[in-house]
Amino acid sequence: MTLYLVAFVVFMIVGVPIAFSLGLASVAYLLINDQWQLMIGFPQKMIAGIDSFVLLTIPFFILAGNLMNSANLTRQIVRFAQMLVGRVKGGLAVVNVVSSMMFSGVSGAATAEASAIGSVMIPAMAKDGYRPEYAAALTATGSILGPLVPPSLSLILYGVLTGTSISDLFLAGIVPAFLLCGLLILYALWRARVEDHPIPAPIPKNERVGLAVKALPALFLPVIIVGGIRSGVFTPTEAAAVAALYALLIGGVLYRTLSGSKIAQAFYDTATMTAGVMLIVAMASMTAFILGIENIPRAIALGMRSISEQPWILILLLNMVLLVLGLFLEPLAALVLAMPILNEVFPLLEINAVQFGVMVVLNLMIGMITPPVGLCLFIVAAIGKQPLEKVARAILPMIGICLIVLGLIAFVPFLTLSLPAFFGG
Amino acid sequence: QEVTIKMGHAASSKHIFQTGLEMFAAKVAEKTNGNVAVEVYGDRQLGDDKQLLEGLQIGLINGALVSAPTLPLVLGASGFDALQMPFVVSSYGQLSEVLTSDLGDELLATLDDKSIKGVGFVEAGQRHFLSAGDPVTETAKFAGLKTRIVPIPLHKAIWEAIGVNPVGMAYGEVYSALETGTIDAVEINLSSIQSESLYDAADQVTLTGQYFWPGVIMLSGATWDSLSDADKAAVAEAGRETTTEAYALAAEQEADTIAFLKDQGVTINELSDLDVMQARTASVVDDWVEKDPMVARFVDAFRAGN
Amino acid sequence: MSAMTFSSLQRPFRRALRGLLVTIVGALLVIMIVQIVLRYGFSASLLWAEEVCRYLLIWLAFLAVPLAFERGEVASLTFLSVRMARVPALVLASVTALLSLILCLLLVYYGWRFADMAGRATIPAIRFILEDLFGANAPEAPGTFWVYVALPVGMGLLALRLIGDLVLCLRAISSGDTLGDILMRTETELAE
Ligand code: NA
Ligand code: NA
Repeated sequence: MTLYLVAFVVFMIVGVPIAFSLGLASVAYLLINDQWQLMIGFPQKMIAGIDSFVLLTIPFFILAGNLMNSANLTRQIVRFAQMLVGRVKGGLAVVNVVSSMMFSGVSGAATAEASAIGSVMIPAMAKDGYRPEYAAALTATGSILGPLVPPSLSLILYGVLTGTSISDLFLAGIVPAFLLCGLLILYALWRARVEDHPIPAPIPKNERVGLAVKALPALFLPVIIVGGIRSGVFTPTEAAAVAALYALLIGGVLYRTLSGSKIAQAFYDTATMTAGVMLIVAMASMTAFILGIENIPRAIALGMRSISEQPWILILLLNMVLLVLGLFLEPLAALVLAMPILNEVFPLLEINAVQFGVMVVLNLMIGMITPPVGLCLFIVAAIGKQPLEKVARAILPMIGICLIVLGLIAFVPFLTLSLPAFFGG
Repeated sequence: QEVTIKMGHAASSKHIFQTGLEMFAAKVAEKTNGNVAVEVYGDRQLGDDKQLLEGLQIGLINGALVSAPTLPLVLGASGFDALQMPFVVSSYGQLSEVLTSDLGDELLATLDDKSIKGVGFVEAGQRHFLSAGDPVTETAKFAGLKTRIVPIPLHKAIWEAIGVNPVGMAYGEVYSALETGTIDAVEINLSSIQSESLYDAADQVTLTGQYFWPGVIMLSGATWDSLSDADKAAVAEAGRETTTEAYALAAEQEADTIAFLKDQGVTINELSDLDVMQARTASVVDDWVEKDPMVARFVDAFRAGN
Repeated sequence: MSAMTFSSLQRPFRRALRGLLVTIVGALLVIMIVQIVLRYGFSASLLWAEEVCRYLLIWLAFLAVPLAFERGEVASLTFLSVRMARVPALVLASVTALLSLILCLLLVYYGWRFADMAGRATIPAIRFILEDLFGANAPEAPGTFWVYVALPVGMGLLALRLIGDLVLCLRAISSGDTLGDILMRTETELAE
């Protein structure tokens, strides 16, 4: 197994795409362990890994985000946020965080959020004198609010894989999202004092009503999604298609900014972005197959139990294992690999399944903003035209904030369970 | 010890499929004097039903226990539809007897040309009807109920004849769909209502018993060929004995499961006009008897015993 | 074959592929929405919808892989090559392309064998559709081979692309171009 890890890291460092590094390491494993006859299993595992109805949420959520983007919705949301909270020192940074929070109601995936908010906010903040790596880091951290607020790819996938109520998971993520959002705002205000960030110009009065009218329908989407699922109109997977249709209607009918060619382009972008994600999931299924052969999940679970049987220590250990997975892997792939470990350990934790689900998902999302492999980090660094290391350094304190929220979710059930309980979950 | 056979199934490790395979493993060890060791992997560790069957075909895995309805679908082994003709089998005991007869062996032998060796059966439990809302106590009440079925031709024909609106849906979404009312009902076995906690989402069970749900114990052709003749005979014998004992266990469990479900507040209903429901599906049996001679012979065997 | 004719051959092919992918995404959206409307509004259901959507997703995922790759949507770490001098960077790029190519070719070979061995049964969903359309004398539905073959097809297309990259890198070593030049040229080619 050590060999597998070494091979994977070497392939990745020399620049082989991450998905291919997973696959090549699997091939190397078979070759060296003299188990080449299992090679015929790889295509099967790759296809089976993506042959899942719930994974249809991936193209649909990406499509919804693409359509909203080509309909110029992001700009409306950012201007709306500026109208609400922009009149303070460091206002643009606060606007960045609040926009991420608002956008999380329409986007199901953190990567979509990072590129949408990033493409508007990072240049704007840089122009106003913010350090670009700070703007990029703040955007990346804000983007992980996306999967905590419905709609959410990761929460749906977690719910289906574990049989946890998805509408409860959706409700449970909301309070932690607001908490993370609040802490990020406080951090931004503090940085504004230290680095003397400016107060942005106000939005002209005559624009305000128009902005609110345009931004509000988009902010209404989470209500439609949770409402539709809870009243039985559609299943959580189908909700993703509803989100895409809603985006199409808003952009095409309400804003009238979507043309046929723009829609076709959004569909095409969706196809290639979906392939990028699915390829990693498919290759990770090979890895999962090899981990299974080696009985690794059980070994990790037993190792954790041998350290302690105390639930809170096990929760800490589990979070550490997940954070390490998140360093190297994209969340869906990490979830595929971690699932057998979670199944082994969960019964010992004395923790509510919904609370546990939100914890796992936030943990894996933190992986999206940590080097060496963090897709959101890659995206914002590219938009901000900054070296990865610089952005990675700027994001460290914000990762600290995420870890605080993670700890609170793990040990304060009220944060996650109050809303589902309130709605009779 | 000479050979280790890793066998997978897609149910949880508390399911009767696990118990059945463990039974089989113990018998194999005993009858081969420890020459052949069977290891059981549940919880989809080796894949779901479809992956297990494909894995047997491509020689990736040694053995598996897979639900019979999947076999016509993935392997094209249409003879296995014979085990699910609606309202033809009278009891667990009758099904067990036919499966351990020469006719059962003939059915298993239809897998030979797919380089799979079938050796026995484990029963997951007779199928009934779980619904939310008003109890379904007469056949007329099936009309229009959005019912999740396994989307295969045989079941489609049966449930359309009964009069429900069959819905195809991923199994993972069934709990939440029942809870929120996306669907009204599901045709299912009692042990799954228990193991998947479906009783939290819907609380009316109607004991319809339309068909049974046998799982087939199989070895890959390569694994089977690697056994000595004496071990082959011993494994086949172990499979046959497992079938008998597993069916007895399934029959016994049914009563326990009903008691458990009642404790959970589930109402257990009988259908007042079961004969009407049976009459509606009679033509499906006729259609399938015509399609496959194996189905005809099984139907004859079951009806002769009634 | 010169680079010019290579790309002019590619253009109609790429346009067809793009059209196919847009159609698949559109079909997925339509099927899902129709399914919701039928079930909620009319208490009816397309029994084949779930399965067809899954298979369309498999084709979508693998067919779009080569395009995702050339649009930079298949993530990789580049910090090593951007720090290197011209020739070592090109050599490294060639090595990574070669490694990826090897994996692709393995998956083409074994993917095809798998599709052939495990793809014999007919696709039930297509059978339902054909029966709905033609009733009792419906033609035989195609086998699951036609689902599984998506993997070797997608990986094969990517392999062609990787061979092109490999040739470009090796040629650049002698011609004096940098890795950046090659990447820039591919980008403008895509933008056309
Ligand atoms: Na979201
Ligand atoms: Na990471």
